[in-house]
Amino acid sequence: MPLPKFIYPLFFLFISIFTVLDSNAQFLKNNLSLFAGLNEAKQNINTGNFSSKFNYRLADYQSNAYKPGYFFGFRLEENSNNKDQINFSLSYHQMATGTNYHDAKFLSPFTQAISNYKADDHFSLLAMNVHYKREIFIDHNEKRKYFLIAGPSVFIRLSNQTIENQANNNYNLAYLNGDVGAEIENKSSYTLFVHYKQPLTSFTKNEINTRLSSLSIGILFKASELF
Amino acid sequence: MKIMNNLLKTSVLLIAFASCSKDAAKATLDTSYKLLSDKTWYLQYSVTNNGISDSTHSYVGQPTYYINYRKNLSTLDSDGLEGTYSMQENANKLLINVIAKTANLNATNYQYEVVSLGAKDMILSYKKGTVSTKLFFSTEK
Repeated sequence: MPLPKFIYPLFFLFISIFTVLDSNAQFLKNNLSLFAGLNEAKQNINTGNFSSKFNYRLADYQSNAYKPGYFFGFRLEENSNNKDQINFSLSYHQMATGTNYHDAKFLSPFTQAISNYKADDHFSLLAMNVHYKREIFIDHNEKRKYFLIAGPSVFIRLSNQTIENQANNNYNLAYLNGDVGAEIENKSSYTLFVHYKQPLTSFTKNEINTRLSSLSIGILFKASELF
Repeated sequence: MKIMNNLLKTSVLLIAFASCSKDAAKATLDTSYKLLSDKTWYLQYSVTNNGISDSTHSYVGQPTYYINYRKNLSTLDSDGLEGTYSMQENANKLLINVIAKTANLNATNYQYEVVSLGAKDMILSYKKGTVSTKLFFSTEK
């Protein structure tokens, strides 16, 4: 299966950044941060006119809830006192998701609501994020800085589809998010953050529209503080 | 810097692995066996169409026909037919073939087309002359 076309420029971008950094280890030490945290995720699913030979009782799979997972990664950002900054990050996400089906079918005379599609509910994903970061204020003793962030991210599926979804090759390899969030930087030693990823494209194909939204809560340390 | 380069290479390799998927036809059969096997299926409804109209018969709450599709690909039904089963996909049709013997050892083979197959509900169909029949099975009595 070929990679989606939009992946190539993103890879080119990251490779370019790494190549530039390769020649400047000091820059890397000052600008690299490591982060980790917990995420909560849910898939909203519209199956539309999709049909297959398989049926799944919705009572067994419907779950309109966010489920927990974790993530870790690294971020590169300019070490400056500018109010506006751009940062790049790459992270690995292990996600469990609730699966919220918005439509149902019936195999009359059976009375149970079914779907011809069973969403996968565990994923290993690689996220590539480009975020604009804006300082909104500094507290009175200049101990903490408060930021808002926004920007796009791409989730790339690393885990295989379950056998049920391989039959119709339902899942895309990647999908696009719009991210927003808030960050609190504590005296430049660590940063606490909350990011929300709103999907902009579907995670599935074959007339199935799946939007995987997630909330990430984490902590970020500058590499220079750790090593 | 080597670490970052390695991370990048690992990412590319992982993506390449992730893009490899099983052959769809094999995945369909594997899924079918997974959903069908190791269960006893109870007939809940039969719908007969004679080319003009449908006739529905309900067996819910009554003694009914059942068939056990075992994991080792053997089968036994409530009529005493014992044998083996296999599934195949042919011209976009999913089929169950049963080779069985009656209690007095008479051989009998039959084939159903799978209309819909799930973990708990299954619809099979067959045709005799101009009359087609759909059998609605459930894993619940």
